[in-house]
Amino acid sequence: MSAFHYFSGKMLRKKSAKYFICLLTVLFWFSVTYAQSGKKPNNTSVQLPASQVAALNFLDSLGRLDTSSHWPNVDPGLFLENLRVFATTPLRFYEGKVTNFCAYSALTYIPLNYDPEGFSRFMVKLYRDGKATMGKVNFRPGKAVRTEAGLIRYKGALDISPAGQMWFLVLADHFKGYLNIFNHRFHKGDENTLWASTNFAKFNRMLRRLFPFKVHARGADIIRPSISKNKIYRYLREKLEEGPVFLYLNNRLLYKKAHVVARFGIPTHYVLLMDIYEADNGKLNIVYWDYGRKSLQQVTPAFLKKIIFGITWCTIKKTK
Amino acid sequence: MVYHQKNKITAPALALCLLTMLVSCSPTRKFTANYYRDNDVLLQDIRHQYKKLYEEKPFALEFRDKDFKQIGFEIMTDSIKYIYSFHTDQSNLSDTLKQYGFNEKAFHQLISSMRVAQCTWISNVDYYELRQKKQFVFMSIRHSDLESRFKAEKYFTLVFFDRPQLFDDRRRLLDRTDKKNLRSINGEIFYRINDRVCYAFTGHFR
Repeated sequence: MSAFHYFSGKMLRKKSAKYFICLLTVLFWFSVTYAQSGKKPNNTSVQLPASQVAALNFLDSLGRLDTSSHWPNVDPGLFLENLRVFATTPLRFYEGKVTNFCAYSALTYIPLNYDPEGFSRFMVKLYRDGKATMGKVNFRPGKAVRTEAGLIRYKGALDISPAGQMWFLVLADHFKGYLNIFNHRFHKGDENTLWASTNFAKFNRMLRRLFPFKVHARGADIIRPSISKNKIYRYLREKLEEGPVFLYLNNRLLYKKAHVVARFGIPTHYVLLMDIYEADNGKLNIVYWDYGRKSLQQVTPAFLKKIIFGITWCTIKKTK
Repeated sequence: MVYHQKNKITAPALALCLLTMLVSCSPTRKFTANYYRDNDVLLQDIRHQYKKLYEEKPFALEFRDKDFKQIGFEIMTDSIKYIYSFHTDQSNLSDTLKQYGFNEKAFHQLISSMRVAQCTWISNVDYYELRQKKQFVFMSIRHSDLESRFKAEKYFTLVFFDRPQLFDDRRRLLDRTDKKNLRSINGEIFYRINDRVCYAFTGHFR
C-alpha cells in the first residue's frame, strides 16, 4: 500500500494526520533544498578575490550571448564558459600544443591576474562588435582571423577554448615584429609558423601598449643579458619583488625534445617567472608558468644564465 | 667536348650518390613492421604498467642518455608540475617515489621495461573529441637503426588509443569526429599499425 493510500480516505486517524503533516513538511523542505541546489551557484558566496567576483558578476549579467556574425565559428555558450574559467582559474590559461602562442599566453597573466573584469568586458565587446580597445590599442582583426577562431584543432585544451583562440589570433594579427616580415598575413595553420612568433622587442612593445605598467627589459634576441651566474639569483629575486617578471628562454634546453646537442642557442619561449629560491645543494629552484600550469624545476645558476636571453619586468606606473 | 663528357659521367653519379644517401637515411616501413612485431607484447606491457602507475599519480618519464641511466621525471599535481632529474641508481629517486606515494617496485619495473624496449619517453596526452577530454599513451623509441650520420636523429613514436580509430586508404590517422580530416599529433601525421596503435618517425621524442 502506498503512503498516499494509507493516509487518504476513512483510515486517516488523528495520530496519522500528525505524521502526515510532518512528512509533508519534510518533503517540502527537501524539494526547496533540491530546487536551490539546481540553481547556478551564487558567485559572491564563493571565496574568490573581489576582482574575480566582479568579472563573474559581469558575465552572469549578460545571460546569454547571441551568435556573432563577426566570429562565425565561435560558439557563444562555450565562449562565455571560457571567460568564466579564465576569470576564476587564470593559471589554467593554455596556449595549446605546438603553437607559437607562448608570448601571448605569458602576457595574458597580467589582465587575468590584475583585471579579469576588464578582460572579460574587452572580450565580450570584441565578440559582439568585431572590434575593441585595450590600453592604447584598437583591435580590428581581419576576416581570415575572425573566421579561423574556433576552428583551431589538435592543440589539446585550446581545441575547446574558442575565446583563447580569438585572443591569440587577434594579438598575432595586430602586433608585428621582424620575425613576421616573411609571413605577414594569416593563412590556415599559421598558429605554428613565423606568423605567430614574437621577438623580444615585440613582446615588450605589446606589454607597454596593452597594460598600464612601466615595462623594463634586459637582453635581446641573440645576446644574453650581461648578468653573471653568481648574481642572477639575486637579480631575479629583486625584480620579482617589484612586479611580474617574464623570461625569454632557450626552450630546447628547458624542455628537451631531442637528444641533439644544440650548438647555437636561440630563445624560442616565454614564461612567467613566479618564484625563485636557493636549494640546499647550491642549485636554484625556479617556479614558472607556461602551458596552463606552474612548473618547478631545479637548475644550476650557470644553466639558468645559459638559457635566459631576455628578462622583462613590470612595475606599476606612478601617477602624478 | 671533353668538358661535356665529364659532365655526362658526373651528373648520374651524383644523382646515384644522393639517392643512395637518401634511401640509407630514411626510416623504412620494414623497421616499423619488424620492431612492432618483435616488441608488441613488451610495448603493451609498458603501456599497462604506466597506466596503472599513472592512475595513482600522473607523471611522465624520460631517459636522457643513450645508456638509459639518467631519467627525467615529471610529476603532475593539480596546481604544479615538478620536474626532477635522477640517475636510476640514486637513492634520491627512491626517496622521491616514497614521498609521492608511488609503488616503488612497479616503478622500477617500468624503468627496466622501458630500457629493454629502448623507450626514451612515455606520457599520457590529452585530446578532445566532440568537446570530450580523452587520453592516449604516447611513447618514443630511440633506436640505433634510426640513427644517421647525415641526418638529425629520428624517433619511432607510438600512440596507443583506448578505442579503435579511423584511418584512410593510405593508413593515415583520421579525426574520428568528422572522419575525413587527418588528426595530427604534435604536428605530425600518424600511420596505422593496428586499429588502436599508430606510429610516426619524428624529430622530437615528446
